[in-house]
Amino acid sequence: MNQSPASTTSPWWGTFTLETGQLGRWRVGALTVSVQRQTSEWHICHLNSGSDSEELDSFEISLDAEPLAAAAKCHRHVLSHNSQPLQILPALANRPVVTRPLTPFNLYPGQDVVLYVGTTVWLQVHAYPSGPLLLDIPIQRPSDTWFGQSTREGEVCFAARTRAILNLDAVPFHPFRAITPVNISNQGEEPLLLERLLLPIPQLSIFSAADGRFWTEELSILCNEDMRSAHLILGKGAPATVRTAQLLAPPRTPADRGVLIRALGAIFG
Amino acid sequence: MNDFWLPLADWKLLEPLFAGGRAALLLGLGLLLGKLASKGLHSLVAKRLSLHHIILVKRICFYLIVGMFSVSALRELGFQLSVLLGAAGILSVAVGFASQTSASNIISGLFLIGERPFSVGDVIRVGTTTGEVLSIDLLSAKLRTFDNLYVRIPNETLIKSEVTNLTRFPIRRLDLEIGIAYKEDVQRVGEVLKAVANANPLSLEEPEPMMVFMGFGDSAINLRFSVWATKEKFLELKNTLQAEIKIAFEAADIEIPFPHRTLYVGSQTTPFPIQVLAAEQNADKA
Repeated sequence: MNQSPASTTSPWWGTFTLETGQLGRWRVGALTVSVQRQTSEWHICHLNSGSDSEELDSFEISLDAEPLAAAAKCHRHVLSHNSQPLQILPALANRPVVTRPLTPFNLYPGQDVVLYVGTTVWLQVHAYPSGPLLLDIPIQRPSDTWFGQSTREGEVCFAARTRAILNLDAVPFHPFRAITPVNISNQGEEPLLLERLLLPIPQLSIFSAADGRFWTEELSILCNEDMRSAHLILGKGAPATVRTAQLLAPPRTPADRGVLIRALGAIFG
Repeated sequence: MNDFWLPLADWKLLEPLFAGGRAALLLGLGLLLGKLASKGLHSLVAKRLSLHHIILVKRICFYLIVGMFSVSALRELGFQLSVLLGAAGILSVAVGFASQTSASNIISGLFLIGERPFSVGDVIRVGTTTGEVLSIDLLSAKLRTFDNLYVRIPNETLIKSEVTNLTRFPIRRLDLEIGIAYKEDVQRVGEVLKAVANANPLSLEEPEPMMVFMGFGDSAINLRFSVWATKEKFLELKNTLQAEIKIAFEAADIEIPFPHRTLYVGSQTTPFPIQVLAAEQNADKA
């Protein structure tokens, strides 16, 4: 089955039943993963055809496929045999993500804005629902980047491949991107220059909307009056625009509290 | 027969034997307790301290306990601590003269522990030796080089010489020296290099890759292309990026020149005469 934005009734994620010896293949964007069930073991291979593939916006599932080419990276996982179905799930990035608007802009005092940020989704293979994690791989490897005041202090993050966009309709559909709405409110007395933004993606959950898009909770950033710190509020549940979206995976690193107070430099660089 | 047993029954004769036994027991107990206590401390502080500090705390604990039990053992043997300390003072002068190097290493070791230019697990370069620090001991630091050799470097050498810690900061810069032919457009080369760096996920987006015009070389325009990577992915980036640059240069018809020598005899002279030998030889044969 070959899926595109127009036809998203059966997603690439979910539970799949494979008999002993049967080989299933999942292609999502440029990433192809093959899973073969053998007696007491799983044989998993993955291959990335590169980001310039024409098939980036589609996915394809075949439950009776040929093995991947020899260039694929393979792993064997020995597990006692059981007949439970395999589970394939999307997950968010395992590091914070840095994003930029198309061009830097000023947010004036008293103003607020909603940015939509698309971040790459990881593909996870579980031996069975809530069973051992056999594979955890980005569908499109994001570039590494550094977020910090100097080269001595900061943290290694991923750079979002897409820019933060102001209009939801302009956000392109990708079967391997999750959209995070970020509400920024300037409650200070000076304009806020938005050049880049650090998103705590590992602290967010992933949801699936009816149109096939992935979403995360909404993030709200309230810049305080002193323009030195900001309140970072993690929303609860799916964003308001897709309230009925289905929860697929919880955060990788659960946040202790819903509201975090951070230095302005730790969010906007 | 009774006369034979009498001296043995004398308590005073047995006393030194018992004292020696007690001293040995105390020493053994001290060693055992020292080991147990340092192991217990390890599990207690493992999550809170760095590997370097854990080793330090374990050693202090071990030597403190063994030291205390040794003093007790000496007391059992009849030694007086004040006399021993006095003797140790005189002895230390003599030993100090005899073992200047060791004393210097011990003091350098203390400075190293205080200054902490590197910790256990860091990768350092001392002179021509690069390796991972296995331990920092009283006399020397031990390294494991990447070809799996065990290298002992005296603490005094570490204090005196230049030590480079390669893993202190989370990110590192990779400097590539690239030569391009004089006919090439430097701006276009810069764009090709930046495109290669942007396409490689291991090259950090920030700090941005940077090209520096280094100068006019004998055979090439010398450029330096600097990209940043995390310290874990540094070698992988070094390998992949250089291969990708070569492929990109070939695709864009950018020449990487080898050393050239152009013979020029000036505008006033006639060109070098060229004689085609093969044609002349054929004519002779005919």
